[in-house]
Amino acid sequence: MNVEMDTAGSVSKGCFAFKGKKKVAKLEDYLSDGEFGQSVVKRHQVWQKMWTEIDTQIQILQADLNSKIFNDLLTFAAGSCSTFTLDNLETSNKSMYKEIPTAALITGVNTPDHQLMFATLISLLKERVSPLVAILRSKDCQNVKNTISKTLSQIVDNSQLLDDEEEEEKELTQKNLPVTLSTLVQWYKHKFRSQLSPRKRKSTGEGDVRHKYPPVVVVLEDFESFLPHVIQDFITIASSYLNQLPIVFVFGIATAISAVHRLLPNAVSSLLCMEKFQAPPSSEYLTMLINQIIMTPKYPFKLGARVFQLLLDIFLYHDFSVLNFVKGFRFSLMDHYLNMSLSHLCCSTEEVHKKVKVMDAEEVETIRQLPSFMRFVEENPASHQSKLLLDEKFAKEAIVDLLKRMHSYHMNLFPVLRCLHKLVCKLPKHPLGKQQREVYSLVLESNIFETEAYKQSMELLRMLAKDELEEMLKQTIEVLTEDATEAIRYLPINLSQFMNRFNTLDDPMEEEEREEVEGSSLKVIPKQKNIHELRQRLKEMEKKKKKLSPYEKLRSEIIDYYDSVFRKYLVCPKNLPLHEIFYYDSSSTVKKHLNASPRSATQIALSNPHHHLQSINCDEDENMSSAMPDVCIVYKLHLECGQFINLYDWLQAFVTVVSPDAEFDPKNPDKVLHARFIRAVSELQFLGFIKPTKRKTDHVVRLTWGGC
Amino acid sequence: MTSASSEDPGTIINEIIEEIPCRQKQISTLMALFGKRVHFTPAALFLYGHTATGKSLVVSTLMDKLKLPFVLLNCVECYSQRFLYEHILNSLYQTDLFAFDESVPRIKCDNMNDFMRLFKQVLNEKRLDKETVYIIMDKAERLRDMEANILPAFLRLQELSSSNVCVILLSEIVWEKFRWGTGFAEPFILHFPDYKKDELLQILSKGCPANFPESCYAMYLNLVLSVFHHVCRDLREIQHLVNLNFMKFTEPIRCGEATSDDSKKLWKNIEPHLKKALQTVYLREVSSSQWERYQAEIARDMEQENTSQSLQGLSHRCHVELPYYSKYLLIAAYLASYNPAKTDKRFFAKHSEKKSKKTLQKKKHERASNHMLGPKPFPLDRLMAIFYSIVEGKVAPTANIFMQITSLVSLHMLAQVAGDDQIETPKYKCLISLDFIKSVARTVNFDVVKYLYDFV
Amino acid sequence: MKSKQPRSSGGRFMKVVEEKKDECISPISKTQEILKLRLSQKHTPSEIFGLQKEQRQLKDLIRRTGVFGESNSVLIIGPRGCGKSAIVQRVLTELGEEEEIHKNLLQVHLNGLLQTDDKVALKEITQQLHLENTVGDRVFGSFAETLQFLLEALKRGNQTSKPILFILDEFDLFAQHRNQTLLYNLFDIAQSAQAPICVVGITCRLDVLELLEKRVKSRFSHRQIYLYNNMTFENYVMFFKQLLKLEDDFPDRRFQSDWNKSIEELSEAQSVVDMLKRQFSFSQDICALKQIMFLPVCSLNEMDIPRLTPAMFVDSMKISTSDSKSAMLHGVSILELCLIIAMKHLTDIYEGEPFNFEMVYNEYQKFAQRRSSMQVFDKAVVLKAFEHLVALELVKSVEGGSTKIQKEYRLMSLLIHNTQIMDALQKYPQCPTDVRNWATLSIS
Repeated sequence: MNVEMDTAGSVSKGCFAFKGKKKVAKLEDYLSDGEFGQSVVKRHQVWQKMWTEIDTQIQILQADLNSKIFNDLLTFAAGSCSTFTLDNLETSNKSMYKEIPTAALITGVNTPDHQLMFATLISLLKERVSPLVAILRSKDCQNVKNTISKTLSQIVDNSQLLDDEEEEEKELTQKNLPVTLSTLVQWYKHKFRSQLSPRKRKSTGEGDVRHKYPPVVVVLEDFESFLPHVIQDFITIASSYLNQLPIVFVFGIATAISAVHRLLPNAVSSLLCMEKFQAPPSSEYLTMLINQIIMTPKYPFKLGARVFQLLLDIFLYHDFSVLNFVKGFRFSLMDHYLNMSLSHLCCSTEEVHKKVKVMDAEEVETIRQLPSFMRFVEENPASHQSKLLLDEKFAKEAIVDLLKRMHSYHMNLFPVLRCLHKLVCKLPKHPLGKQQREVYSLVLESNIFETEAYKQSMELLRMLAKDELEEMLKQTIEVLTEDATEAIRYLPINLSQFMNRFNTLDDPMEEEEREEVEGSSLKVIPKQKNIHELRQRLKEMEKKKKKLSPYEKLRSEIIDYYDSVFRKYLVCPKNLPLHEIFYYDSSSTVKKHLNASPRSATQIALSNPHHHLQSINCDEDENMSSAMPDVCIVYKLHLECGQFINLYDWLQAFVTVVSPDAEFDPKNPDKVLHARFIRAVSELQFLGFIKPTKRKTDHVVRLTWGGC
Repeated sequence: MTSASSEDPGTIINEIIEEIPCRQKQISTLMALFGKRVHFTPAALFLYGHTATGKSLVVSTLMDKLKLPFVLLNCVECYSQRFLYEHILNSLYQTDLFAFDESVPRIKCDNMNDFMRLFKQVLNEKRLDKETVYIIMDKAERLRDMEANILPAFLRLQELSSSNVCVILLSEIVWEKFRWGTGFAEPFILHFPDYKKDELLQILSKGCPANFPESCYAMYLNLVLSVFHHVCRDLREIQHLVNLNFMKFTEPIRCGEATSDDSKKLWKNIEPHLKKALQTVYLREVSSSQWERYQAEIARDMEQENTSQSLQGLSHRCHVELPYYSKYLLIAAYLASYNPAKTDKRFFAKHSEKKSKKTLQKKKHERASNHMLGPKPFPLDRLMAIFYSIVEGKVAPTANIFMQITSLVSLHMLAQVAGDDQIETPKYKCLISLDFIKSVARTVNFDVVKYLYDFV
Repeated sequence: MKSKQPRSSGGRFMKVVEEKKDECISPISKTQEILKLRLSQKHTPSEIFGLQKEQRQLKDLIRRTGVFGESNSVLIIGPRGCGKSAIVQRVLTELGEEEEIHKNLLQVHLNGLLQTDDKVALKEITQQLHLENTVGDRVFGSFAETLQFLLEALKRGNQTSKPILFILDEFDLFAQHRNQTLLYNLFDIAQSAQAPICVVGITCRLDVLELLEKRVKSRFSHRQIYLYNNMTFENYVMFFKQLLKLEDDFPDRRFQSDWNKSIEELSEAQSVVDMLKRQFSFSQDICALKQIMFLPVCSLNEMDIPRLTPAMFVDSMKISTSDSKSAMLHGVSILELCLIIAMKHLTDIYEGEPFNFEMVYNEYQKFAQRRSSMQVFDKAVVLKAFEHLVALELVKSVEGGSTKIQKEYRLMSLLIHNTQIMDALQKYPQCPTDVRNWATLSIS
């Protein structure tokens, strides 16, 4: 008896997990409250403000991204069952060959984003098509029963319908309903057939897509990973109830429609009547995002060339996931505000003034330390230099003005950038890339107009046919007028003048036309004195020698004009003073957090441990010293071995490294050293660098071969 | 006794035959077998025939018209015997789950023994014991997968329950394949033969839309059948095709280029489309409306440049956007699972020596190509090795790379075959077709065929 | 009591007929009704030809239990439809007329198909002995305990316990229950005569004794009644007639007499005799015979078919013996036919080695490209056709359905015989000649 009690006691001895109350981390917990703690707080505020703005922007984008395809899908879902009725079963039974309307939604392989996508889809379906929506995921549909019960529970106890039938909710929670679709059918009959008209109006709501019998929409989120036999049976069953229950399927297919045939044999697929809906590729979404969030003057914070490229690479090379891209962006935003001590100046133009006003001395000092500011100082005449460096007030004014210049730079940059993109995107072999983002990243890297690709594309532009050029002019004018700041308001005007001259090209009075043109060009020479302009001039000269057709002349003129514009506005931000405040470019940090490579990390850790533990005496990483951790020594030793490693030799080497002075005697090796060695080796095995083998006695096999 | 027995079966038979063409023989046989309500019937009927030969249609119509007491269930639903029993009992008992008076509780039953007892009970309560009760089981082949005693017990339901009941089994599978285990009583077997071509015509012509000339519709059907009849006999499928192409067919009539009777023109118009539809028969990937659009766009780029539709249709079907490295991973996986491991050296070693005579000889007589036998599993490290040797540029083995492998698995382009128990060496297998990998490789302009053992 | 139920309910049906008579139903349809009842599973023939000996044996065995309270156990073994259950029924009805047995002997009917395990069986026994409320909600340690209790419960009232007759249909299935507890206990009781019971097992498995565990076997009195191949063709024909003839209690005597005459003529008719011979040589199963006779009886009616004709029987014979597989083959499309032929070739080439879809497709392609007339279909389409064949179980996956291998590479084997394919090709409507040639060419 008491034995039992004892056992019971011992049984009850277990550990129980307690869900501690969620601890809300405060700002202070994160930020080292050092000497400039309060400035951190300032930055944090700016960060929060900016992020909330950006985030809402992203939400909006997300919403109207798939709107098109979703609308089609919704109308399909609503329309497919509009003829359904329960009122005269006798006739509706007789429709012999019925198929289940099925929407195959091709979502693309960016699986991380799907959750969000389907969430929106469901909500839309619920509000626009029918309250009866069930979403199934493969992980909780391991057999037919589960699948059906999931469907039932989602549809039957959904709140909008059960306003007046609590008992069903109760029943269902008691689980005493048989888990079959016929249950659903009966429920459906009760709900909609025996409806008195007022209740009907109420429960099925209004709106033209709705009708008396709302369809039952079943959404299968990850169609590919469903078990074949389960989904087959489920569809067969559903189809057998089709004349009593208006079912509509939505298959979420990540890869391609052919996946359906992999899962469904002929017998089943012939029960469906599919319609394909291709969701827009996520790269499209990304482009939108970049245009709205990054390539815009709205938000002063900007990504530097390297980080921007990195994020793009992660997107294009690894997962087409926009969410991850946003995550990356958010991270770099945060990191910028956290580590860039002046980043609170990275704010909207209006606030610049007071932000700068309240700056204290050492902040100004830090600005003075900024390399870009230094450069700026040197460019200034000597008189200014001293004032800039000493006179705080003067410096502040300068800073304000610089900051403002930065903003205006952004204002002008993007329209012109777009204009450039318009010009080059159609060129053969796309020297500057197809996408706007590519052009942008070029700009970020360096002065684009100095790159080879740029020159090349300009050359290409100089060979455009008339109509093409005209077309381009039109487009660029549009682009520029679209979002032109007053600073560049004049560009489209000038361009449209060129347009006009196109029309007057081939009328008789082109001669003097040309005269005055070259006159004008002659006039311009003395003004701008840089080599480039001179070269252009010379070009024109020789062009004039071999009689140019008026069009060619005009063309070269236009291109020159474009060129000058680009040189004016598409300067690389790196060359601008105070760009550090706006541009975040520590790609290594981002890489470390977003694109970690565990294996090489361990290898680095093993091959030069000081990288992690800052101990001075093993700084030189090549030759090993006894100061290193044992495992590192063992690792380095094993790098020199072949495929099979003799443990004995290994031990010997190890001992010689650890204690060079005490020579190694095979009779009785030092117990401690021996133990350390064994431990290190087993650690190495645990890390998967070696494994024991049967092929040779007291040898181990090496598993990695340096390299990556 | 309900009044149904009073009305004359002759008239009913006629109207049913009217309703369901080309099935006179079966209908009359069944009617004869059923006989009067009080008559006994064979204990079990087994109706077999291809899909859409009107098995269940005939039976259910008979039931409705003659107002016979019956239960119809689809054996696919019966994931447990319990479900089977309860379904039969409750629907005989007409229990209503959502009846707002809780007076009638659902009958519960989970073994054959109770079922028999309850069954008789129900019959008595419902005053059904004087007439034949029919239990119709569609997709009866599924009964074989359930407990061994169920099928025989139902075949002998009449005897075991000693009541006037008739079990009707519907299936596409011949009876021979049902004989298994013990205790069988042979059912009465009735075959529903497939429809002849003219019968198909007759049936389909019932679907002639209103205010459309019968003759013309008949002609249309003739055209469709002439194209499809030798590839597909399934009435349902043909129906689908008919609906699919009808709009296209009537197009010239609608826009007044042709009248409904100059068949030549109409045929000219429809023929190419039917030919195209022939390429994708059975795979219903488009609803009729989309089919229209699809046809249209093909027509458009037909006149632009002559691409062969079938090809284009295919690429249309299985084209997937993949991240850059995923593509290479996929190619690597494909190579790994279709090339024998020993050939890797030859393909991927930096300085690959000219393959000797011997290897050639060997290839000659082990010509049973791997593309016949299907993909072989390969360990992860082989995949990575090949990946690194084909991908250009240096790629750090970041977590993202490995994440892509798993995501490819979740997309069922790879499958993990073994090694989920030991972490360090999982084995994978590539599930995608040659065409697919070719199209993928084309996008990164990598000539995959050059690396495939079967094609060198 | 259950054993009575068939007869009583049968009686009820008679009554139905009575009450329907006065709303003048024609003698034909009445005959039809009676015959149908006879042909149904429910009916047991009024007398069994050629089994009198076994019948007697069984009868006095049971009587001894019923009257003197002996305990017995016997197995009735014989092929399906040879009248095992029939003689048991017969014996019971006869004994039922004897007064003392009727009120003395309790009966328990069990069937291996219904009582799938011993718990259920026990419940059933309790119910058939009407002891549910005596048992109430007692809990018992072991199976034996319960059975004991039941028997004890029966003792109560008068001291000598009532004899019980256990009839176990599909006996072999009971042998599959865990530990064969039920059988063990029954035989044990029977052997050690604790209570007078008689266990009658009915089975069609000749090796049934091998199924029994040693301890069970040892307790079984090895009394067995074998009924097989002692039915002569004469008996068979007599069965045939007896099933069709009308009893004397038929109201309309004139009709009855000439009906019976017509039956006599029918059974003389050569075609019918041949039909019966064929069927007899095929199997002696009475149920099978009934099955064949059913359709003709059904097709009787007042206006045009007043009598049974030989032709009817021949037809229904034809129906019941048609080869269903080639009937299905007739329905497949030409594409599918081509696939079948391709598979046939593969099976011929690789001596029955299994094949997969890829190979089949390859074969098909080779053929289709040779013939300009044939159109080559996409793999996807062909695969669908292939799946259809799989669904019809004309082709079957070698290693069970639930393999992780893709459809295209799953190993299959063809389940149709060459001859079936061939005559399917013969029957096939407008089958293209080159397809036919292709099929034949492989034979050589």
